[in-house]
Amino acid sequence: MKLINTIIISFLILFTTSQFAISQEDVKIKKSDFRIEIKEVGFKDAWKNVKEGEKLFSAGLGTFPQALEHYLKAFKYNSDCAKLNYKIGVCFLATDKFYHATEYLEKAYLKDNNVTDDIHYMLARAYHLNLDFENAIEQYKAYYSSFSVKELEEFEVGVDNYIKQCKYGMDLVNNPVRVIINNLGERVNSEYDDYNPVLHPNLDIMYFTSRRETDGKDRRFEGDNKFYENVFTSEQAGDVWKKAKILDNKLDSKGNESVLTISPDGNKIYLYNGNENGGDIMVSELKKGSWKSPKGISRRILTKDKETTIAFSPDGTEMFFVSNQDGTIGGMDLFYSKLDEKEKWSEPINMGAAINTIYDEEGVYWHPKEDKVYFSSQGHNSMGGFDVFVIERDEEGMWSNPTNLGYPINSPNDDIFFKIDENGKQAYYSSVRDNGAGGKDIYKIIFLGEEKEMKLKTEDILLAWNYKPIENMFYHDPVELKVDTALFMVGLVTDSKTAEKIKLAKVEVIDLEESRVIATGLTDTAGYYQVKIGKKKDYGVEVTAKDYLFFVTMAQLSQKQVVDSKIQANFQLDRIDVGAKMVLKNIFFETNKAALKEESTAELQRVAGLLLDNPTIRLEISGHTDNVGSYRANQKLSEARAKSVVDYLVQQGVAEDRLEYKGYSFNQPIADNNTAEGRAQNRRVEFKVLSK
Amino acid sequence: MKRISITLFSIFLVFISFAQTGNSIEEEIKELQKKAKLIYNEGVRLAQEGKLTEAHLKFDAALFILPEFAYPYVERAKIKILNQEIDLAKKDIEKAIEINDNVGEAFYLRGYLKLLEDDYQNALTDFTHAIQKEYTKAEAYYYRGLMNFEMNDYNSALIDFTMAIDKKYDYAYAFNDRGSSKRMLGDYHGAIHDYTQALSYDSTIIVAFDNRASCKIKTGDFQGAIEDYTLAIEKDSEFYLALNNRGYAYYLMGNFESALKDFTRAIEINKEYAPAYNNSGITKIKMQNYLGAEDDLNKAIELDAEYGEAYMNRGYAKEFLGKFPAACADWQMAKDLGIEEAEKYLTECE
Repeated sequence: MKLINTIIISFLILFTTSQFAISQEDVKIKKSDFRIEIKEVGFKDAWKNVKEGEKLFSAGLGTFPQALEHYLKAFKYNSDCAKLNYKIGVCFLATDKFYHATEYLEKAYLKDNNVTDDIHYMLARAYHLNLDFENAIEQYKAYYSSFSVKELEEFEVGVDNYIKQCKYGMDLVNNPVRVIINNLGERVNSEYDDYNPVLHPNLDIMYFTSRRETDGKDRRFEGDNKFYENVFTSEQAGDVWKKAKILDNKLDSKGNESVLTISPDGNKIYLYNGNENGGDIMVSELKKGSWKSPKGISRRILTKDKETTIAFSPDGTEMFFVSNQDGTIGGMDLFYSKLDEKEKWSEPINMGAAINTIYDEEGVYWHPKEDKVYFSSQGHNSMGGFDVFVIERDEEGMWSNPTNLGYPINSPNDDIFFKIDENGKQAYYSSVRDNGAGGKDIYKIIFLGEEKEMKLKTEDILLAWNYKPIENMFYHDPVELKVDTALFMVGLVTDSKTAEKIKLAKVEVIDLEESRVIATGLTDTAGYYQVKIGKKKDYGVEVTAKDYLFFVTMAQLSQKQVVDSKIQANFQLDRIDVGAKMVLKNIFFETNKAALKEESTAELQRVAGLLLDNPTIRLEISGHTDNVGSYRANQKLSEARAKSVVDYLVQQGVAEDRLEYKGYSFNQPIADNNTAEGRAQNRRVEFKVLSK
Repeated sequence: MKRISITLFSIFLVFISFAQTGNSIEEEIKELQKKAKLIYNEGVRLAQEGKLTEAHLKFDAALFILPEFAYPYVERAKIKILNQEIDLAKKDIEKAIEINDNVGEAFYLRGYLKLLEDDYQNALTDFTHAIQKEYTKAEAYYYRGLMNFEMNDYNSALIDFTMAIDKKYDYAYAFNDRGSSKRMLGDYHGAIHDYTQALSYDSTIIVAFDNRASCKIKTGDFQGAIEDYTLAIEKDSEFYLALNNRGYAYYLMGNFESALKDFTRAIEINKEYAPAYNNSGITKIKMQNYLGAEDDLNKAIELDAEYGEAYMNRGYAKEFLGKFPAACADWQMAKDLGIEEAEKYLTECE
């Protein structure tokens, strides 16, 4: 294994170590590796880009983004060049677009398994940063096994911690904490590294450190080819931060400086000055609206070694700071000091192995109100790079073991300079996350409480009626009412002479308009009858009874009163006695002739019926006229008419010997012949009972 | 003594005279009743033929002859309801009941008018009277079922809708509404069956698709629910409730884009429909568009200041935006509006 071309590079030398802490190989892309023999077109420009990229890549991390731009242009010419893919992957790995790195590094390995000595390491880093812990572990192990025993004895390969980080990462990712992490946006963050946010106690001003270019004359730090640090500030306007600007130039040390913290009253600002004494903590006071030149803090704190971040207890009597001064367990450690009775800072105490590790601890911060101290560490159960941890002091003054704040606050990248508000609801810190503005960015963490069930609302129209009422659904066709329209004709049938009630007399009601019998009834033993009639109007009525002459009349019911649906009509019958007479009112003849008219039939049938029902009686049929004309002529006519009746009766089956006929001319008038009405009555046929 | 006898005879004559007069009036009344009924029946026949104006005149005539005749009032009231002459109809119905409180249909009609006025309690009483007085048509049970349902007595509603179906086997509305009663009683499978029956008799009852879909969600059949909601929306493209509900189904399936599309469409159709804004807001939270969510929830609350759930949800959106005091204020408001869960979240604000 050759390590000749391997160079050691540190990112953020003032605060953090690189994710490329082990190495990355500056393998050179040869023309013969890159050139495609049959493809001359575009080679010249592509090769030019390769050379530019190589130059920028070699310069250091600070120009990796620019190198990447050239490599990607060259990639269009030859996308199969293993070394070019490797370089592109490595460049991506150094940016906030590290998620692209895997694709290129995998291709580099696919095209040439030995593209570089550290291809497994770079693949491992790419998988690690992209939370693909299983593949990362596999690649770390592959990288480790690529060393010979001798090399392993000579060099500290150091993948063990990465493998541990991957294992911790699996656990942390499986148990995420509920937070929202928002990039503060391009008004604050730049394409360069931006970190260590410090909020003014009023929360309306943010100080932070940036390695951005300020005026085009900025120098780059040789170590990483990035610009030197400067302190910037941004003011909050509503929900947004205004465009950041560089802080008062009196704080500019011409080298690296970074803002660390600010006093609760906002009048003191603590800064890191990389030029002082290996790196010291300075303080500047705000007087008459401007910051005074920074001065070093207590000599007990500052040493020839590096002191970086500092945090004070809420009452200002205690402090934590980070240093690699004597007594460090490894790299940068947390130290503790407190004011003594003389208001002097006590000799710093290393917080010990429970809190400090052999790796770096950085970015210490004391909760504004509570005994909680936040810091970042590459040790403990970090999932990669710096992770944020918290320690708490109990009532007996003992500090707890560090607790990882969890995923997604922490990531396999550096998560550092965590500053939480007094309510514990939101915090700011620096991290490298997908799609940032570039490099390290400042993020705001919003701590969500317990997961809450969100209430969606649905509604149905449960009742069809409520969706579309059927307007006429209520309506039902009406139904006719039963109406009792029956009308009865009732009455008594009695003997005309004795007034005796006649039982079983038959009463027939004849509708004269329709010429038909519409109802028939019989008298009861009390001589009472009841027949149903249709309407209140005049009807013909025929009453017959055994031993009685039939009786036919016009019942003028229309003239009568209805009482309880009944109209009273009584009838008297003449008993069949010798000598009894009956005028046959409904027998009609041709004028001055003896021929019977057809409408006489009904009356003639009654007479025939009387004779047939009473087979012993004998009748005399007599004809009568008025006195108009001679007696002889009338006698002849009356007799002929009587004979016509007899003839009809005989035709109906009545024995001839039971009948006699006689014409009486106008000798037996029954009415006044001086009136027309009287004469009409005198023109008649009668019968008389001769014997029974 | 003789004078006394004469006096008694005179009284007897007067009595006879009165008795005869009484009989006469009674008979006259009976005659009038008969005449009125006959005219009424003529009106009935005209109404059966759909000649309602002519029928109305006959009922008027019957009442002219016999003003204390309940049935013509009832029939006239029905025609007046059809003619939207509700106040006049009410008068006729009240008169009918005043004359004869055994006419079940009069109570039925009064109940119906009270139903239209959302006076559910009195409508329920009237429909019950109608049924007790043997006005037992399917609609009487159906309307009483509606009233029981509206008054949250789902068991009674279920019985009434069943009676209505018993009277009219293809009563699609009663099937739908019985389905809803079953649903409210937790019998989702029974409800699905009834909604299906309703649709088999009348596929224009679009709500039955929607209701069946909502029951399918309850049984975990999200895909079936989406299909039913889609059928409802296909039949009525302006059915914003179904769109909102389908959005909910998509949301439950984790298809937030489709959900948001449906909520947005529901809002386009009815810009005053607060739940769609609420749901759109929640979906945007899921899609990490917290500002958009806050806007939607602001709108939901603007439309319905008493919308407790929207305050809860806006609180969540604000929490995601880091606006904790505002989030807490919303949860407090939600609590004040009766959302019990708010109390739990308010502890985070302490």
